Amino acid sequence: MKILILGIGNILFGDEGIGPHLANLIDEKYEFESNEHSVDILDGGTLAQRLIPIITDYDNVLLIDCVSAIDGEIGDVFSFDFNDVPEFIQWNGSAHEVEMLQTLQMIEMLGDLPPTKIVGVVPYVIGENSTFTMTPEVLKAGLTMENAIIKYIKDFGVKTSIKREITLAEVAPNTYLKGAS
Amino acid sequence: MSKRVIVDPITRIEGHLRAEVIVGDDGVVQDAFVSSTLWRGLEVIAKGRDPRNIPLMMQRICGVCTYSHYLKSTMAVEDALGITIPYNAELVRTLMNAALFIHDHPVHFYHLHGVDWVDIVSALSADPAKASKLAFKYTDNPIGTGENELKKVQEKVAKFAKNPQGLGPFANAYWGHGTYRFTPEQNLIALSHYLKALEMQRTAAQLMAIFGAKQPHPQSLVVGGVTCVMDILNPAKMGEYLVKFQELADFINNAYYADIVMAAEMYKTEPSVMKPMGVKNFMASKEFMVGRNDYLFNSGIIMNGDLSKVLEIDEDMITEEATHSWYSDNDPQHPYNGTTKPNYTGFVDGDSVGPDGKMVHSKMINEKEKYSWIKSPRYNGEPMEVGPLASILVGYASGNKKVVKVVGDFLGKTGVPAAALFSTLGRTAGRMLQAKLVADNALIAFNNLIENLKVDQETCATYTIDKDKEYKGRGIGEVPRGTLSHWIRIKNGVVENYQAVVPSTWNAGPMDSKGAKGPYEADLIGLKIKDLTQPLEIIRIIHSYDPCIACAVHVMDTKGKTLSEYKLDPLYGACSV
Repeated sequence: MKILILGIGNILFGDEGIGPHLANLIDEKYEFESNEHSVDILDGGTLAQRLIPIITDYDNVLLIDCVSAIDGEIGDVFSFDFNDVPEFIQWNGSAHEVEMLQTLQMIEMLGDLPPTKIVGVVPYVIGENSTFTMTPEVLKAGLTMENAIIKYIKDFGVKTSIKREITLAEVAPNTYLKGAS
Repeated sequence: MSKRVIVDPITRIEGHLRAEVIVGDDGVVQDAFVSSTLWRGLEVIAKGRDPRNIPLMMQRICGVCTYSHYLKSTMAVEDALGITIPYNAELVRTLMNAALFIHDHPVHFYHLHGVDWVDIVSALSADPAKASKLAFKYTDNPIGTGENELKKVQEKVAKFAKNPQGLGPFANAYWGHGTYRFTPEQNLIALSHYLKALEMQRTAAQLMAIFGAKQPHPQSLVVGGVTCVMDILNPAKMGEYLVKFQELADFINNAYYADIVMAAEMYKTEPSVMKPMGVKNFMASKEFMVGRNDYLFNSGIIMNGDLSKVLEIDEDMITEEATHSWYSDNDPQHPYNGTTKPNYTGFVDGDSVGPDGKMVHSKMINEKEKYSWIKSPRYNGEPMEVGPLASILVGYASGNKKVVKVVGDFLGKTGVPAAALFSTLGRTAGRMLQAKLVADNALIAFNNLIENLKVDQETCATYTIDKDKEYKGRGIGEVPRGTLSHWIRIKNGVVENYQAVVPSTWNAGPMDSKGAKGPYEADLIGLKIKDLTQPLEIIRIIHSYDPCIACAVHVMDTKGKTLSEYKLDPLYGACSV
C-alpha cells in the first residue's frame, strides 16, 4: 500500500508552517521499512488543488495541518478522519476556503479520495512579523503530533527506526531551501 | 433609509476579504468598502538574507501563485544584478508560465467563479438529452456532454448532495437566486465541465512539474536561468509536455470558450453583470516571450477606457500609500523605498443587515480611518485595474494581431458590443480569452526551444555579487491575476529592502488620501442588489477579479456532524520507536 504523509501550511507565518516543518522532520529523522507498504513524505506548502494528482496517487493519506477548535488553546493537538470531523473543529472563515478542505471535497466528489486522516494543531495566529520560528506551545505540540504520525505509520505494520536525532526548531529555518541545490 | 450590508468572509477566493456596502431603499449600492483582514508581512522576512535564496522563499507567499512569485522574484534579482538570461531559459520559463495560466484560468472560472453563473440545483432537474444536443450550439466538438455522461453527472452530484458533508464545495450558495440566467440544460453542461475541469487540473499540475524539477513548489528556476537542462534535452519529457498541453488546450477551446460564449448570450441582458465598471484605467505588462523579441502580451496603460491610446509605463510613477491601510507610513512610497510598519486600529461598532434581513449589531469598517491590510497602489496618482482583461484591452488597443482576432471573434459570436468589455462579463470573458491566447500560442515557444537547442544548449548565465556594491532591480510582468512586481534592493551582499506589489493589491486596495477608490470598491457602487440577505451580485463582481489575498494564515477548519476522535493528550499516545 502507498502511504502519504503530507504537511500543509505556510512556512512564512510561524506556527502556520508546522505541517511542512514536521513533514521534513519525519523525513530527516526516521527510516521506514516494510515489504508491503511504502511511505512517502511531502511538504505540500499551501498548494491545495495543485496537490490533487499527488493525493489521488496514494492508498492512505495523513495530513499534517493547523486546525481551529472551539475552546481550543494554542498547541492543542487533534486527530480525526476527514469523513468524520468533530463538531468542535470549526469553520472560522480563515484563509483556506479554496484550499485543503475544498480540495479534499472535490476529490471526494470525483470518487477517488483515499482514506484521509488529519493530525492538526491549534496555532498562534501571527500578529506582526513573518518568521520561520514557531511558538514554544506548538514546538511542544510537535512532539505529540510526531508520536501520532509514527503510530499511524506503525499501525500499518511498517517498521520505524530513528536514523538521526533532530528537532523541529532545527529543521524549520531550512524548510524553504529543502530540495534546492 | 440606507443600510449597511456586510459580506464577510467572501468565500471561494484565496485569502480573507470583507466587503461592506451601503445600500439605499432602492437596493442600489451608494458606497462600498473592501477590507483584507489578514496581515501579510513577507517583506520583513526577506531582510538581511542572501538574494539568491529569496525566490525560493517568495514562492511560499501563496499556494496558487507559487510559480508567479517565484518567477518575478527571480527576475527582480536578475534585474538588480544586471543578468541577461539565456534564450533557452526564457523559453522554458514561458512554457512553465503557460502551464500555470492554462491551469489557473479554467480553475478560477469553474471552481471559484463558476457557481456565481451556474445554478447547480437547477442542473439536477435538466433533461440530459436536450442538454447534450444544446452543447453543439456553442462548439463543434463539445466535451463531457454526451447524454449518458450528463446523466452520470446528475447522479453523482445528487448523491454527493446527500452525504453527511452536504453539498461540500457547493454549500452556502444562493441557489435559485433571481439573477441566475442559465436554463437547467445550460447549467448541466457547465456542471459537467466543472467536474471535467477537476480532472483537467490534475493534468495541469503535472504539466507544471515537467520542467519544475519538484512538485509541490518547483525549484528549477535559479538566478541566471533554469536548472532543468536534462529535462529539456529529454525527448520523452518534451513529448509529455506537448501531449498534456494539447489536452488542456482542447478543454479551453471546446469547454471553457464555449461556456463563456453561452454565458455572454444569456447574461448580456442581466444588469448586475453588465453594469459599467467603476475604474476604467488599465495597466498590463509584456509577458510570454515566444521568440526573440516576440511577446504574446503587450505592455501599456489605458486611461478612462480610451482604447485609441496606449501609454507607456513609467515605473517611477508606481507608488503605494496607506492612508486607509493598517500601516503607519501614510504617504505614497515607491516600492524601492516602501515600508511595512503595522498600525492596526480595528473595527468600530454599528448596525448592519443580518441573515434574516433585520438589523443586527456588528463590528464594522471605520471608513474614516484605516480599514484594510491592503495598501493602495497608484500609477501617477490614479487607481488602475490589472488582470487578464487589462492585458487583453492593452493588446487590443495596441493592435496586437493575435489579440485583436480573438476579441473580434468573440464579440462577433456573442453579439456583444466592445463597450460591454468594461463590465463584470468582460472581465470574466477577458480571462478566458487570455487562456485561449496562451493555449493557441505557447507552443510557438516550444518549437523555438527545440530549434534553438540544436545549436545552443546554454541555460544559465554566470554572474557575481559584489559585496561592496549596492543594487536595485525589479521583476515585473503578467501572472494569471494581473501585473505582479517584486522590487529588491541589495546592500553588503544581502537584501536591504523588499516589496511585492501584487495584482490583488491594485484591484482590492482601499481609498487613497484623495478619497479615490480602487477597482473593487468603485465597481460595487451603483450595483442593484435584489435581496440584501443574498448578495450574489456583490460576490459575482468581486470573484470576477479573481481575488488572491492569501499570502497569509492557512488553517484547516471545518464543521462536522459527529464527534469521531479526540484531542490528543501529550501524556498518552507516546510511542517508543
